[in-house]
Amino acid sequence: MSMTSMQQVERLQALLEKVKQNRSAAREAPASAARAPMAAAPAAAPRAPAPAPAAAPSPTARKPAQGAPTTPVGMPTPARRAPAIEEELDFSSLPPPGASRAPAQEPAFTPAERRTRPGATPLEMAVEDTLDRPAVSPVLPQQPARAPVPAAQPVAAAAPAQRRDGVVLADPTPPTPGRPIAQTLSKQPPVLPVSFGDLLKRSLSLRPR
Amino acid sequence: MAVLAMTTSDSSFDPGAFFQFDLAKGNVRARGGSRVLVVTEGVLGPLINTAVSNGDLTAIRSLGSQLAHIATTSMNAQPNAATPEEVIGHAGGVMSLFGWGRLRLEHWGEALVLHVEGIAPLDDDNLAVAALLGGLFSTLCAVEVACVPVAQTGRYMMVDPRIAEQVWNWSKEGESLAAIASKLVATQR
Repeated sequence: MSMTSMQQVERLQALLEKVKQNRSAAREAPASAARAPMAAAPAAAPRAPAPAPAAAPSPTARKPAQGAPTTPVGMPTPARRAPAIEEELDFSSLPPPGASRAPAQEPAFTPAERRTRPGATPLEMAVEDTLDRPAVSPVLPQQPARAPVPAAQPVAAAAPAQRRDGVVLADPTPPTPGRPIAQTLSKQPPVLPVSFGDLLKRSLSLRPR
Repeated sequence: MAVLAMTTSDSSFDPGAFFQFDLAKGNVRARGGSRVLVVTEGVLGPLINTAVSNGDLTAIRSLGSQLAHIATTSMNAQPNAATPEEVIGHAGGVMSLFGWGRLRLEHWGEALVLHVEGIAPLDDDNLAVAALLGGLFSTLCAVEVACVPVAQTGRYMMVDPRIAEQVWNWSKEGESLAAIASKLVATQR
């Protein structure tokens, strides 16, 4: 890395030329890019004015063409094709792709732990989150796929919410009827209080049919 | 067929100091002054069987009448005008004091059925208890009542004496209480 500043300027200019060539090539074949499902937004790019490389783009034109990286603040960076990116990226600090990482040894990913290497290019800063993110999913509390439904218990027994073995037992919402409850009325007249003599009189009036 | 039952637990009958034991004179008197004799089932059973075989249960029926008088004096109203709970409560209380079992009242349709529990059968057809109940409720309600035993169930259907023979025949033929009740229909008296 003993390049002089002039050499760096020349190389940047060469990269800029490559970007222009790529964009002109993209304008020549918009139809093929529109067929891709993910290229819906870039398909409208030819109608929008191409942003000047040095000027700050407007918010509406902030979205660059597909594959163009952006900085963490959304600034478009000089577009580079994949071979150029590989040339600029330094993967020496990353573990080999096949290396297994023990989840217990890796810290959980948090955005505050971005490790920005000194001298990293804007492109590296843009993809740094992806490259440095551990290959494990965020740590979630171990819960079963579906919380077991407790058996029918007295209402008083399940009144307070309880945490038991990682499962939160809470009061179920009171059931609401799907339709109004029908009110049933007896067709029989209400039983009036009768004396024992009246009852005995009816019983003594019984005769064979 | 709906069956409604009421027991002596609803009673306001007071059994306190019902019997008075006079050891000096060697007698026992019930409330009201009538003298009683305490006998065991082993003694009373043969006497009742003899009466049944002779076809004369008048003595048992008169005992029921005496129990009815005791129950009537303890009631606040006339038995015919009282509620069924009150009548059964007082009549059952007196029966229990004399050791004739626990009395309940059931409704089988329009028919009143008396259910006596807690007494060993004194005769094969339960005619002694039937005579006791007949005398008891005939005196209570001032109307002739026949209590027909039904199929060794401890239940006695209260019917008019004129159809008692028919009901008794149905019972002897093995008809159930529900079947007998369904064969009866209320008429204007």
